[in-house]
Amino acid sequence: MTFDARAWLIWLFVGGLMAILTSNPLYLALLLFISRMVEGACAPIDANGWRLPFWRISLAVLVFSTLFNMLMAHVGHTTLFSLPTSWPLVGGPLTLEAAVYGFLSGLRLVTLLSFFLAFNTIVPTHEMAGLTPRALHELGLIMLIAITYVPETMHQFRRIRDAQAIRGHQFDSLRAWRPVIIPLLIAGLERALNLSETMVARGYGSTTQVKTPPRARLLMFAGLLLALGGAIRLAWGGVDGWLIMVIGMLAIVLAYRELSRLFVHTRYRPRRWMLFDTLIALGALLVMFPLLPVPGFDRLSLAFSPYPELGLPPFDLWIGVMFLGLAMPALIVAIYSSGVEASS
Amino acid sequence: MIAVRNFTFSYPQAREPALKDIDWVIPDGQFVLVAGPSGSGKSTLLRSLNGLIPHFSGGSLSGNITVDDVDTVLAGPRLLSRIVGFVAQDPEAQAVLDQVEGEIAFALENAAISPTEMRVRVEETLDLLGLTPLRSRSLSTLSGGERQRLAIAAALALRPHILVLDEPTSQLDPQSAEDVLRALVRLNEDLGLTIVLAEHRLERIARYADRLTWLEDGRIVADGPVRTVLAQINAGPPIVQLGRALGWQPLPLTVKEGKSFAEDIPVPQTLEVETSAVPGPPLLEVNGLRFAYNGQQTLRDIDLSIGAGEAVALVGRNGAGKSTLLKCIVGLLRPQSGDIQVSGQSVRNRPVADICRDVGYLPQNPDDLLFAETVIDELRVTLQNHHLPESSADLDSLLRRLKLTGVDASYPRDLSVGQRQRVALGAVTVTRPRLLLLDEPTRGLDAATKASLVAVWRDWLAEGAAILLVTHDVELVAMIADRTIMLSGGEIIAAGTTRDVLTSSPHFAPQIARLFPNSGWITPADVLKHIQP
Amino acid sequence: MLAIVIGLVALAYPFIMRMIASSRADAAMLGSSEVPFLTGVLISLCLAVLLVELQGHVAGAKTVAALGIMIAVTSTLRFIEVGIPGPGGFSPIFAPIILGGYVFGPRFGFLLGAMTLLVSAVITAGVGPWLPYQMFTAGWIGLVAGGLPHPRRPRVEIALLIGFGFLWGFVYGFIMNLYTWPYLTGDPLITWTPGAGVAEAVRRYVAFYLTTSFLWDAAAAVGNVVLLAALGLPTIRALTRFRGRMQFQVFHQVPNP
Repeated sequence: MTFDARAWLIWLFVGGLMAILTSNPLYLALLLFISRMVEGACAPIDANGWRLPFWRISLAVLVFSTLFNMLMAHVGHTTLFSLPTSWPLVGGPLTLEAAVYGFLSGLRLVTLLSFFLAFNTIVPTHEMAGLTPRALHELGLIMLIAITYVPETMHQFRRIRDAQAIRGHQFDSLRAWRPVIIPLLIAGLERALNLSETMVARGYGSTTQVKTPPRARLLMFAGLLLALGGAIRLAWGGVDGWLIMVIGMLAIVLAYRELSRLFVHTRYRPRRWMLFDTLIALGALLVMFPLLPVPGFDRLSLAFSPYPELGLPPFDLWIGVMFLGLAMPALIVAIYSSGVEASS
Repeated sequence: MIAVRNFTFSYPQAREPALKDIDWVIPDGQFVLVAGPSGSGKSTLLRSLNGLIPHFSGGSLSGNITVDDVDTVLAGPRLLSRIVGFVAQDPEAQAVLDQVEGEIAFALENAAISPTEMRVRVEETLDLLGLTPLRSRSLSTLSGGERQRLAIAAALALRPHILVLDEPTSQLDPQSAEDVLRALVRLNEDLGLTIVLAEHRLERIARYADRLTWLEDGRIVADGPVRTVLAQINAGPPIVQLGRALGWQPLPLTVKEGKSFAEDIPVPQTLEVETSAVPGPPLLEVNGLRFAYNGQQTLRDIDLSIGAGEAVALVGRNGAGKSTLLKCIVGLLRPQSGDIQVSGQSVRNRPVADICRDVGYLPQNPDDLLFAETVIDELRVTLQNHHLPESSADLDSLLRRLKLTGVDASYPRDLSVGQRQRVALGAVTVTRPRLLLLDEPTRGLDAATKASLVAVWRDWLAEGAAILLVTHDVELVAMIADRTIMLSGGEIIAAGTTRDVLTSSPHFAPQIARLFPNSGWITPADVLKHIQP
Repeated sequence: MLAIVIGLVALAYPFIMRMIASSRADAAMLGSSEVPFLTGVLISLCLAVLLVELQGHVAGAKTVAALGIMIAVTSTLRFIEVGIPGPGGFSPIFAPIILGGYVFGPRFGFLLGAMTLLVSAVITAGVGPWLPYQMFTAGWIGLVAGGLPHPRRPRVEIALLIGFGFLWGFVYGFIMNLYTWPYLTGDPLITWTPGAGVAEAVRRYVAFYLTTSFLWDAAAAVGNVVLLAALGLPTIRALTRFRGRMQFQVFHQVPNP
């Protein structure tokens, strides 16, 4: 059972956003758990061999961020021990609060990583490439070509290395790789010429340059300026900065839509958006709900600071329940597979 | 209908036109073979039929070409892609996307065909080329022949009624080539597709083609029914060469057609056993070689020995273990058991570079070797690798032998295929190894280039070198090899003199052996020597 | 066109710096959590605009195919990092991006850099929140390399490129650190006096940079230098040979007599 890459993208966005926005360890732990669970449930069985050593990296990040903050930030009331103040930067009291703060920052990064890793593992490469917006059709094609030719290039690399070895070449220095890299590059470029010839012969695009229409360009730059302005406004403390940023983003989206109309192009067997995909998207969007100014949620519990003195983090049950929306993919897969088992 | 009128074309910055005054008309439904030596303008002519020339290459031209009354120069390749499908030589450089169906759909997506229509067309194209079982495979898992059929399918997706193919089988082994050619014949006969095919394996395809156009030096030298043209030119498969030499009329194109003529020629009752020169001391000895890759036995109990002055051919299907054996000999792969001795010295525990001072190994793709700025540098690099002194007299004599004297300062990549093959040969033999390993040395070469390589090897053999040759080309084996070893599934299934091995297996037998069974003849020269002593 | 691009990018960076600084000075509204999110969004938007702008200039089968395959070759180099001996923090993908940009021009360079990072992230399952930053910075390397002068003498040429590679080894690390920094350190500074914000932020960033990645980046810079010195000139020659064939678009027709 697989889901649409676009649904996964929404899932990733919401999960990542939540991981960034909350600094409460309870929520973070919940998110981390959900993302690992979803990956466990939805990862294809034949997932590509090489995986990021997630837990090892996480541990390293946590240790590093804890120590770093403890050594650099000398605030908080519970002093564990002190270093001589004459030492630059690290000198001063080392506090429990600073350590906890560092740990939380690390935990946030780890949770964010966890969502991305799940996305990487679950969504196949070609579907990821298929996420390129239509306005970027050319770049999407470049990406697909690159993905197609990577295994080919690997193969060629080995062949050339062998060929040079049998004429007595020894790979003892960096310069010695020249006889491999140069033929690899030239063969690649020659192949590019042949490939482009084939593309032209199959009716690929125009050979002339496509000019970006001025209106789309104007929209894009206006959008960018607005987004920038919004962000600055936010930095100065104006809440309306969010609104300005959103308008800016919308302008860019509009420009993209305008541009995508220029490319006359259809898609072979596009993946159909199914009910399950809607469920996943809805589940993810549900998680955003507590962010809106609606009553009934303790929004302040999202932020947690160990300073000035460490206390217990608050936990709002309803927000926690809402977070479970991100577990929707795992839920669907569980129900689906139990259904398959029952019927067989 | 294709009409080429008075067409002359020069590439940018070229001194001489690549095509000169071509007048050529092809009616619908014809199967046309375009042949000629390499560099004669075949590729250029084919590429001008769909507007790639001049739109892709640049250059200047005069005259005109119309396809279905559309002027190719005015229309350009994008418009013409719906009338003319095009397939190029290299199966590895024609795939845009990574998946079979997607690759076929690429052209349709660009033409903005509606998704429902697209489904239908992809299905029908998959069926036409027999690719349905492969439909969801990734391209990196396909063989060369499958890729080439996919390239044809992709070219046909827009439903052109003309298909132009530029040496589509030159990089393939005979079996895959056969599959591709058979698919073309079916397309021509069942669908009435016009096919324009540049090809040098005339023996497989000559009888199906309606017409042969022979190009030399940018001009059409001969054009007409295959039989007529083959009678006029000095080329063609062995049976045609023999038929031409003996004045058989009408010229036979297949073994079947040749049988009636062959009956008139008396076959000697006792085989004349040529006493070939007794081979010198063994330069290569392999005993009880075993090699397993990923737990799979790819070589089992291989024993062979090659003496000085001897040429041995290694034949067998793809995946029989031929290249693996060569790699074991030079130390790129280390066998699990057994012993290999080069010039009486075991290769075990010797580094690759050390072994290769005594062994010249020409890999399948000569371009993998070439990276230097000039031809002469390419030779020097090998000497430097081995820390050997260089003498310009030696280098000059090697270049002269390889007929590369005029181009010693050129950039190797700019040379023709045949010249590049010779540069690569020079690069691996500049250390004067006495044992030569050649892996598919004639793949993609035309008859003339092949003959010039064979001449070089014969010289070396005469001087006491030994050659181990891996090839699919039985006619080449018949020309040069004293002995032949047949591999299958990693085991030697037949070994003996080339004559015995080749004539005993109908699959590998050369045309002449099939024409005169039990005669011991394998080349046209054998027959001619017998009747015209 | 190029001016706009450069202006935009130039705008973006001081802005990020300023923004971090000012969020420090007046951080009542913005917690440390929004800062990385906002910078991420802005970088992504910049990328979105730049990519679509530059795309118009690469239309044409030759450039598309050349870019696709150059990216494949460069990403493959990333796989075979083990094969090329080198010091710790160094990655062989930057030298080809620099050389590609240098020979084929700033637009090609930007796309080569940005797309190489994208493709290698996708195939090594390395898509992460850092991706837009990586793409942006790598693209920027290719872009600037494309704007370098082309001295006649090969020695000067290679020296220029080596210097450039060395510099960018550090700049890349520096910019990438801007990304990790706000995550790892943050508003303990809230308790500090607002006025000291900017200077203090810069001082702390430098400290962060020196302690975390100076050595790592030094390896990257030295790696670039070694790689460019060893392979730079032959690569430039090979690429230049193809430039003519790649960029050819026009033809002239001799009228019929």
